[in-house]
Amino acid sequence: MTSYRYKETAGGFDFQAVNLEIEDFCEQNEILPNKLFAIQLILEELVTNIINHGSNSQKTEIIEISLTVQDDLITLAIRDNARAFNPLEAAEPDTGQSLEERDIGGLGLFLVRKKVKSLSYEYKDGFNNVIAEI
Amino acid sequence: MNITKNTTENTVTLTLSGRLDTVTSTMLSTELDIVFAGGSPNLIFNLAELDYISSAGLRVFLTAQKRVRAQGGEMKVTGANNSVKEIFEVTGFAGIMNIE
Repeated sequence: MTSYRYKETAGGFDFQAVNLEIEDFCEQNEILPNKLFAIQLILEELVTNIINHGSNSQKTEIIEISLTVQDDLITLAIRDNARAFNPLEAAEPDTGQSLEERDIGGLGLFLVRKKVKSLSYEYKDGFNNVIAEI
Repeated sequence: MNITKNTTENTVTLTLSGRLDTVTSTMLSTELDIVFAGGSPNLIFNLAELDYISSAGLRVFLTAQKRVRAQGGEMKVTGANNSVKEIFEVTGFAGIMNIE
């Protein structure tokens, strides 16, 4: 099993650096491009949600990322101490609506649920813990 | 992300390369404000060199489609790779936009 880890405050989270490091990690572990796309998308949507909706104005909360590969299983774990939030409970957008009816929001977590094999959530000791199998 | 703009009499074509995500989507929004201020009714997005799109990018496309429709024009998205096209399809955007 090999792993990649990253830990930063919500305000200091560097998507560009993380994406480059994840690309390197995936290349070293021969992870296919479509899986890399899914990893980066799930990470971006979940972390953006934490930063934009769960974090305080100073963005001081901690966000920890762990990406592990074992055999064919890729596991992305995100742990944060922002406001308690279960992404599994977010309402789904109506993807059949007309252009005029479609809302701008709600797509991020919908895409996460579409791209994972499984998604679990636990709130423990003041931390949100999300585990996505990809 | 890089944006290349090509303007004809009635149509602006924006070629996007790289990643359209939470970091770069603001760049596209700003460019589209300039495009719409220019008055061309029709808009084409060439995504042949776009590697990645997230919900932040989808929101910009949705807003663009609404603005184009409001001004009586047509919008088209071309050249998307399979991963990017899948994002448009799974979110239902392929049903409200012209995705080639």
